[in-house]
Amino acid sequence: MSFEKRKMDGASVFDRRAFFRFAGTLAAASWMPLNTWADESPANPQAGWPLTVKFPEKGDLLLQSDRPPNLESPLHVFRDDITPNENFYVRWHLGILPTKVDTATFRLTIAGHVDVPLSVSVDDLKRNFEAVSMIAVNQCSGNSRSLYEPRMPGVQWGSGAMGNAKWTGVRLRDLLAKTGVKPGAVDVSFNGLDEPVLPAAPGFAGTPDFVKSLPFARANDGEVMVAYEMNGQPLPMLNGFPLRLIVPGWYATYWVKALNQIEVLDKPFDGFWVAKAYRVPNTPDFQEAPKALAKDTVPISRMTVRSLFVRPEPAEKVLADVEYEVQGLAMDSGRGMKTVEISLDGGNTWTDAKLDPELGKYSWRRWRFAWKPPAGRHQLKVRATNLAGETQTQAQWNRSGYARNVIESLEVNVG
Amino acid sequence: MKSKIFVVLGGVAVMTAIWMQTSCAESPKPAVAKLQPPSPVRTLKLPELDPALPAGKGKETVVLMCAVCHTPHYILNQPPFSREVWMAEVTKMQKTYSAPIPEDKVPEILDYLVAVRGSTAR
Repeated sequence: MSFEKRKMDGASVFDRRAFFRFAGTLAAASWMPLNTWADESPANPQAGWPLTVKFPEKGDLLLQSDRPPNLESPLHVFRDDITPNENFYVRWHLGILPTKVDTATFRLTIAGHVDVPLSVSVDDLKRNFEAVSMIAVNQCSGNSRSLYEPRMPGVQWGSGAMGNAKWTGVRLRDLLAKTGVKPGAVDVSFNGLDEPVLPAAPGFAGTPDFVKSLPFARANDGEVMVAYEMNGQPLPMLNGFPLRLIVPGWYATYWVKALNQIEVLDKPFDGFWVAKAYRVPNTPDFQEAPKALAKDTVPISRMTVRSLFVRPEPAEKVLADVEYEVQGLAMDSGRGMKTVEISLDGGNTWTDAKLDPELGKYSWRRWRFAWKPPAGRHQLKVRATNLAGETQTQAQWNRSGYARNVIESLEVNVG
Repeated sequence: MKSKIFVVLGGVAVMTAIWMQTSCAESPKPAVAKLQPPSPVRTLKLPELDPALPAGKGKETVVLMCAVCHTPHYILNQPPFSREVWMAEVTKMQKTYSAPIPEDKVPEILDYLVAVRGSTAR
């Protein structure tokens, strides 16, 4: 902890505010559960900082980083079909995120290649446009990055950078119709209230602002939404209050938080976060090898098919010769789940798990499997296949650790 | 004369008592008057949990030039990487994100990163 005020020229001065923030952190530490502090062994580089934290409006989440906040949902959260707002993961890219939003003055603007630019408040959206709701999975492109081998730099997510919520808002198509999009629209870009610590200035490139884009056809498909509610409540500040773009079936990188600027473009969007970042190899299952990186890459988009174990948890002990309900989740990009299969013999034979009723095509779907195991160590595998015939892979790697859809294995100790 | 004064005083006392009773009865203001419209302003108070970086040569440079934009978590919770991988990260921070890291400071930063989260693998 430093009480120096950091300046761009490298100089630093004592920062009274930082000191008082630190004092606040000490006070805050009193409400952190003590049993979650990391093991302080020399081998543990994370010694001395909490494994879980409570950020405002949030419950206990796994701390990936505090500045910007990147917080992961622990596995038990996924025992609920709908992820509660307080347990929903958090991911921000830039150092300055909105810490104050006045909905009396906040406006979402839609401009660019349109006849009539639009500027609307949250109340305008609620009053003047049809409200729609949808349950949809929001999953970070880099969810499960830490499971890749060899490892790669980036937020070292386990599998908790995802959540399933009921989003309520308006269709982006209705907003675009109101502006009168001119012929020849190619892309639509989306910007939020977050800002880089080092923004561009004359003679200084700066950190690229987090702006994303969708092809116009996707933006205008009637499914992409601008949401003002998450599970019937205003969005938590950390999940994008007051408005968030919902792009069902696509990775969360497109679900721009604190959305305040939409621009219709008559040429392809060339911003950093699409043209250079969040790209995957243009190969089946986004595969490449560390020593033979793909030359052709494309922006990440649709979510791959995947299935995960929710219970038993990795360290859970299961009783021998007693029926146990193995449970998990399966999801894809909205094609619909065909089967989820379990293997008890390392992948030689597979048996269908039972799927819960569908909550919506963009929701994840719970599966259950009745298991009466003998004592010993068991390896379970789970594999999902969707109605389009897309399924999971045996092995996968790409340089950024994106779009994981490897068949998951779970070691279970039965006794 | 005296009796008239007592009557007047008595009357004042009675009226005062009645006034106090009614005013006391009214004193808990109707609940409606206390209701405020929900504030249109939402705020977020972020805790700062920046962990201390381990001691080592180059630490102050890393604090000054890396932690200006992001928490030291971004370094400490990475798996061990080779010098080449860390070099690529530092270059990315310089070229892509405009981190104000002069070239002559790069070796010092790399030494520190490798000392803290280095590996000979890859």
